[in-house]
Amino acid sequence: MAQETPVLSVRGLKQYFKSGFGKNKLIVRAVDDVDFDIYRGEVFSLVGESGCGKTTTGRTIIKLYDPTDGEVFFMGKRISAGYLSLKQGIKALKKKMKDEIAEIKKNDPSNQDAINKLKAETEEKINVLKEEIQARKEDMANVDVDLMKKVQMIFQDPIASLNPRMTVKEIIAEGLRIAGEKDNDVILKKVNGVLETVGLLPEHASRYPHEFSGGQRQRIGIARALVVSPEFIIADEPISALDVSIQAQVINLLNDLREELSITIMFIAHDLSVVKYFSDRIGVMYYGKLVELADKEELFKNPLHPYTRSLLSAVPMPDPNYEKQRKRIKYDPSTTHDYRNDPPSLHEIKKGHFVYANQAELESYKKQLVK
Amino acid sequence: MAEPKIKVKDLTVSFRTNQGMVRAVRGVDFEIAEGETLAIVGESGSGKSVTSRTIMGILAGNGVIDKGEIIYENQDLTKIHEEDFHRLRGNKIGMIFQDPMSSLNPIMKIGKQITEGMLVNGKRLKNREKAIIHKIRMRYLNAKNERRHEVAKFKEARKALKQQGLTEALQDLVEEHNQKMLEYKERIKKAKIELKPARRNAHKQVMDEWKTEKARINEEISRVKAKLEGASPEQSKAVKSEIEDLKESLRRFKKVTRREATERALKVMEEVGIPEPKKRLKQYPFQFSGGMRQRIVIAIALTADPDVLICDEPTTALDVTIQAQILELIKKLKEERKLTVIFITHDLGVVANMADRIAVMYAGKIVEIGTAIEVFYNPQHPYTWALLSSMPDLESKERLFAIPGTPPNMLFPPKGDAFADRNPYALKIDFEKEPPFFKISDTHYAATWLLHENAPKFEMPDIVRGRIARMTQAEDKRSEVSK
Repeated sequence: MAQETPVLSVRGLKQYFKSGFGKNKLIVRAVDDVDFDIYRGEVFSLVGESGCGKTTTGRTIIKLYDPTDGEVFFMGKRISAGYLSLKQGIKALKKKMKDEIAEIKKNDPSNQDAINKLKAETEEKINVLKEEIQARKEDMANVDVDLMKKVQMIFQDPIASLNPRMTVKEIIAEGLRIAGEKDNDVILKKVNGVLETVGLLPEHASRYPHEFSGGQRQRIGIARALVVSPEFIIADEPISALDVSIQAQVINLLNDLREELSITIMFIAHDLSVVKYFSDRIGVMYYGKLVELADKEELFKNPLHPYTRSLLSAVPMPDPNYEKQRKRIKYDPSTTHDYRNDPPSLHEIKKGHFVYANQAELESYKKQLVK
Repeated sequence: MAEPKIKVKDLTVSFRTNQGMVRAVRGVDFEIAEGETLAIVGESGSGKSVTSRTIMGILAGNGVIDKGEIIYENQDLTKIHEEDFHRLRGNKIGMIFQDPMSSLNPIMKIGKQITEGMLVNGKRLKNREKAIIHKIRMRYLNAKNERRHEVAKFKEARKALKQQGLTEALQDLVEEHNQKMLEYKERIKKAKIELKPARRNAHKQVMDEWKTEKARINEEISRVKAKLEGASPEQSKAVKSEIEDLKESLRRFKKVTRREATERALKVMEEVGIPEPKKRLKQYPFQFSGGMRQRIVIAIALTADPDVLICDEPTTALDVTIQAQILELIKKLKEERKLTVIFITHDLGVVANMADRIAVMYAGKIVEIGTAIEVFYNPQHPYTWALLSSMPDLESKERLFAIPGTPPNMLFPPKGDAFADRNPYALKIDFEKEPPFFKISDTHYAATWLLHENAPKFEMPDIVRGRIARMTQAEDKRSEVSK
């Protein structure tokens, strides 16, 4: 299943949104320090309630947003990076230098040598950081088209994400044209090929999106992503907007594609039964943080973080007897955790099972695991 | 079973469109007992929302009730006059809509939206006047209404006769009609004459009541005021507030005051679990999260104390945790207020939690109806199988069953079983003749030819069978544990 080279690795990814000025200034930490790897051929799912930042993570990876901080590597190459922490690092260094100079001056006002030495040292450190910032900026600006077209996205709402004034053929071919394909015959061949892959007919190519049903529209969205032969697809709630019977069609289609074309998929959803059915590993997000990450069997067998438990206890099941006895676990972060003295971070508690906790919690989680 | 709260009999609803009549609901029968939850499940376009909207009497303008009855408290809701319906809709039958963002006004504060209905309906004196003359007024309105129906019927009959060319019968018909019209004219005239003095009397009676009440309160106020002389500041404060209360009670005699409505709104908001209701009253819908918005919509429905609540996909726009909270809330309210609930959804998982009984709808018809246990543990209709096997649960690993094709075009409803085209188990008769309801148990019925005694025996699909086996096992385990 999962091989050891990650297709995509995300390191310390942060995405902040600012609004307002002065006293109204508000910073929303939509994604706050998220790390994970996705390996070749697997389906990695992000789950969480609405507003927890799972969609933002997906959109930041594919560079629809510029990340505030952190790095995203795709096939070993940095495709997206932010530099907030580096900037903060420079600021901290400068402040430290000032304090130290003041200290030296207080002790021995004539010691110019020491001050100069300190200045030079700090300058060097700052230069290293500045170079890194420059490098990240360059990486953000210089898009490697051939690499980036290997990452594609399927959007949530099949009605809103298709341009109503373009035919299906134009919609699907748009990606190809942007990638530099000019030969109309090749484009037509590829479009027809990909339509067949997603279970539509070549004659559908000349129609407009409104002529299709919901499930078919989502197929068009998938075809658009597939036409540039990607290796990695971000599927952002591809089935939430669809009717029950059509959801099954789309899940089956994605499953087939993954087997036939060996595509790696990052699946963003809030429906846990679908996630369990479809994915290999699951990451649970809560308010911008990744709180738990594990294999799906492991996660459902040993949910450790209280939020994961509350999420699992809320899944509705088509079984009246079960539902009668169901007890929902409530999660309230302000009472569950005590992070005042001991800030939490992501720990690997068992091979492949990560949980966001501080030391004290980690101990208690370990005990639960043994049991 | 006791007398059902709502009884729907052979309800048929169509929509006039440029292409022709769209048969949205084609003969739906069900009964709901008091305090029961009936869930209606089906794909979009199966007619479940139209059914509920017909019960509410809020069909779109081009909707027509072709036939059928909806019996609620011994009245047929399809026939009663709009004036009568006003007294039921919202007050007795409440409704919660699917998308809380579009059912709330974005530029109106929450407090105003919750109290709006109470204030509008709260002109107590006027309402009393209306109640006094209601019977006489309805006689007049009903007579008018009947005349209108009579004319429509006459026109249709005349058209038919003209086409057949029966001049003699036509003449008879016209004569008979004219006779009837005269009778109606007389009746309406009489009713109108009766109505006028009744209205005057009612007004006088209510105004008298108002005057006596006013005099009584004023007297009391002047008595209380007498205490004011020579009182200490603290005492005078208490007396002043007492006077204020008296004045408020007088206002309340006249109408629902804003203060009264706000008090009630706060109470209801607390009941549906909105924290800090006082602060929340002054906020706009965009300042609420999805779950909170849905709670407000529920609060608005509850302010009028309905005894039937129709929930039209109340959780579809919400995520899992919030969905669970809202479902628990509806369940709690249902028990506390002894509500009768009609719950519409396409998510079978949600249904298992809520419903006492489940009706599965397809193409404007109920195809299977039974208690929740029966529908989930012993489904009989191929469409129910398809629905069950198209959604994964936490244990399923096999390939999902996707229902092939699309729902039929209801402009031209199919002749036989509407599901036959998409049904891998379809028999030949399914394409020719509509299946009747076959009885499985006293409460469980399904409309499929597979249950006919001459039908070949079919096993339900493996996915469904596997799931039922798992559920039974889990149930056994649970009962062992509890022992």
